[in-house]
Amino acid sequence: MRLIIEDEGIKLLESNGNYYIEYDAGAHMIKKKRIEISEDEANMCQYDTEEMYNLILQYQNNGIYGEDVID
Amino acid sequence: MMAGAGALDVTMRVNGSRTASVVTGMIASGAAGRGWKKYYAWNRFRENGLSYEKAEKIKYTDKGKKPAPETYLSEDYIKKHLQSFRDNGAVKVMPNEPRGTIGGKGGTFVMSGDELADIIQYADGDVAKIESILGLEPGDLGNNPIIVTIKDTSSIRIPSGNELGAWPKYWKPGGYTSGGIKEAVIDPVSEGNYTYKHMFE
Repeated sequence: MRLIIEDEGIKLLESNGNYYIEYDAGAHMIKKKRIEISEDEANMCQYDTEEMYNLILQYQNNGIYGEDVID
Repeated sequence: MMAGAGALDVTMRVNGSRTASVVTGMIASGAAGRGWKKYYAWNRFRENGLSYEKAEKIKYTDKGKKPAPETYLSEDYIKKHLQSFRDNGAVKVMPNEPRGTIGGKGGTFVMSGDELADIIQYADGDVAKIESILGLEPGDLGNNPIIVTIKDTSSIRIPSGNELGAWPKYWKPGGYTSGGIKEAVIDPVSEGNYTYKHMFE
């Protein structure tokens, strides 16, 4: 995974042309999750890091929290 | 350290002159003790004007659009709720030693130190009980969880539900978990601004 940007605990990652947002979805414990996003969405995130947070909320509102990340 | 400020309030409200030692017994009684906490949390909401209908409306509002707690909770309620975090510290539990920054944009959930002490006392070494109270999956905390203490509580606030770690299925407005545990959020904490230790030495 290649780290593109990181802002306030949220990471934008790339691997083999696929883009992901990684964040802590845990409430009272740390639970890292990774959501696959489109290239357009990844470009928006690079333009404005605030988009990473908004994008995660959008996905969560659609019931998508992402895959667990095992360190 | 105070002996379970939240639980003590329950006893004073519901049972008049009972003492903190009774509260300890109440907590130790297991499910019944947790039920009292739920009752207490809901009663406080009602007393502060947060009706069931209003709470449900907030709960089912999309994340990112949920109102700030200051718009539906009184200043007094918020001040009292957050005081135990300021007095007893803000803590998190996790299965492994933390690395780097804890939490992310929007804030990370914390418990107050006295509340966690109550839970640990009740659990009596059984991590599964702690996981159950905190609404975690069995095994989430491992065998000997790490307690992380955050020193700077200046950004402490009541959760709005817009946090990335707020799960619609479980989150409720008012600053309590679905199990009646007092909760708050705090800005992301960088390494060096927290300490940690194992729950069981």
